[in-house]
Amino acid sequence: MFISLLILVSLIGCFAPFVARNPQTAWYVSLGWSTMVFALGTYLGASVLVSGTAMSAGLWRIDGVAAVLVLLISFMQWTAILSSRSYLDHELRAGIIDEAQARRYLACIPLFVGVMLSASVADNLGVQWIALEATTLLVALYARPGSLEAAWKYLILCSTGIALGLGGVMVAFYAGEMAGITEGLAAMSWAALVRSAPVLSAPLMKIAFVLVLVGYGTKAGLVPMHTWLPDAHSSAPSPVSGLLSGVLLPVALVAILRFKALADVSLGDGAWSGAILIVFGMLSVALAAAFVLVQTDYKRLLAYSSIEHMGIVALSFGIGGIAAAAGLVHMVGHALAKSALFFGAGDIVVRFHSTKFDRVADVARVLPKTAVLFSAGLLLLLAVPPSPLFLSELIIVSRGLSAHPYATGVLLVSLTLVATGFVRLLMPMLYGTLRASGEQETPAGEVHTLSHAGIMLHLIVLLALGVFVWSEAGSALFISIASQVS
Amino acid sequence: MPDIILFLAAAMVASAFVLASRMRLITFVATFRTLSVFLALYAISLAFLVGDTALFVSAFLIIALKVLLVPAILLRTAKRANVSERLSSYVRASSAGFLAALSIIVAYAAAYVLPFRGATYAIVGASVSLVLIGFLLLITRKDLVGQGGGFLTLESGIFTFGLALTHGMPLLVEIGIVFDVLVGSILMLALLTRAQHEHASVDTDHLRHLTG
Repeated sequence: MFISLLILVSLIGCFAPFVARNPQTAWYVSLGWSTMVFALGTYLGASVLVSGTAMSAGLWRIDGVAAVLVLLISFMQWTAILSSRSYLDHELRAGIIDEAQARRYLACIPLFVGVMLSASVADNLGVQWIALEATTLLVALYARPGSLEAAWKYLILCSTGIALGLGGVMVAFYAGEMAGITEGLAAMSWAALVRSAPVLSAPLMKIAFVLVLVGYGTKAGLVPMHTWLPDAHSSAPSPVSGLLSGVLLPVALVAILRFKALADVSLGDGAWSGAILIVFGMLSVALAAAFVLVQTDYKRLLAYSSIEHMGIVALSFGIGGIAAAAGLVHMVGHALAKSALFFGAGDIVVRFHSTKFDRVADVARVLPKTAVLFSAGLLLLLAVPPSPLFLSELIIVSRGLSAHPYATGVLLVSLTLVATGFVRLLMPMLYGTLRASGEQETPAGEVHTLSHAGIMLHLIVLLALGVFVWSEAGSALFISIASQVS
Repeated sequence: MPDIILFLAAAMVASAFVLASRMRLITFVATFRTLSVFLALYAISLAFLVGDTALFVSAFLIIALKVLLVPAILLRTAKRANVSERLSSYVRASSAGFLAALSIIVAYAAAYVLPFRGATYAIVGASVSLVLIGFLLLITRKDLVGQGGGFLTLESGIFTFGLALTHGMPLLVEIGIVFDVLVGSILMLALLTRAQHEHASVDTDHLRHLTG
């Protein structure tokens, strides 16, 4: 009941911007609406986590992992709306978008959030597929003039991927039917499939897992299906980029993990699916590290780093056990840090009108507040303690070294490369004073805006999470949640 | 499995094979239309055979979308914008035909190995053939029309695959799938129109600034 209400409220939010007279008021209405989604989502997610029992209603089911995703989504859609204010103000003032487009922008976010929420709380694999497919279409709506290439690449790659994912869902459905769950929709229920997983045909579940891994892996940005990701993330408006990296990728990855759980029970252990995840994770981490080193555009840099982090999460679930719990922490920590950085990047784009490193310098003087917050977010993303990513990477590496030394070696080298690349590229941008001669000085100074508040909230939550996972209660919570999907 | 089902599956594979080597816009779209007609007939026959009325909905939507709407809009866009008659591809027509034939052989070999005991071997093979030929088009074609056609062929293959395995998914899921395909096709057409508008061409050679 409450779950359907949450999704419904979020979806109805798409009408909110149209009741107001001008885009400024529309933003207030949207913010009010998204606060409601935030409150409802937090209540639902927290109540499941506190009680420790899954909440299910019809097609929906919130277990521990889904609760974490619901909390993440409801928090981040709220901060994304917060930081949309300065983006919209700027674009409207500069005449880049008109009022109708501003309203459409505000209307698409609740729709996107609604389908994201339904993808994460769907118990029915078919419904989950529909929701994931719907995100493909919604993201394509954000295509702006000039980003035709990104839109086309995205649409073709993700549609193809998601079609293969549908094949995987069908095979799982078929396996369910073969195992005797014949009542239509029930044969696609994840909870029902998990219960009968021991008798599901192992070869069928292998096929289903591979198809879903390739299919949803396209969405999750796993290499080699990642090629749309840097384009889409860098050409979308920054608050949306934050949502894409922070929400869409984890949701798609969790959908893969749900199939992994099914395949593992049916196969007897997690060795087979784990090995596949490790290969994809390793590829993602290594390739992203190489591309991070040579980026010329800071939004693309952040996008490649998202691929790297999704690779780390895939790797950690491949290793399994306590590393899977660390993977979950990593997923949450990355989502919070990366979206904070994208929000910050949005402020930088607004001032410098460019996402290229060679056009942006001395951010610390021009935008002192953003620079400080951006640097803090950067350090937390690079897993400097007390970042939760520090603990997660530490555990993944220490578990991985004994179980899969080569993969962990690749991970360590890649982590070093990424850190080097980030420092090499972002520090001159933030603190360097190099400027091409004759270029006009960008006016310095900024006022405190809502997007700063949004970033700050992200950093505070991130730090709190960092402290929480060190505590006994925190680690126990994440271990018990991770055991539900691994 | 009745002969009509097998015949229609074979007809789909044959039209996909022909589609792979069509290099003119008009014949490409016409062949795609033929493929979709066979797909719709397939769904209708299956609906009669297993008595699943939900399949009529699917068949109706296939006719509306893949037989009528998408091809018609493609042709209209092309005519209005004076697109060149020839589609562009990385491989010549004859090589594309050879690759398509190879895909069909691989598909049937794969279907033989795959553990779908309850499904008809010939139909699983046909569906995998459609998927592979769809991939072939996606990889070898350079223009948006060819790639879009490739995606829709692949999607038809997945749909056939689902029918072969399960004789129809639950209605709710089926409606969702069809709806998504609908919106996807519309978006692709919108992009196609915009590409024509911006570059006066639907060739993806104009779309390669974003690399690395």
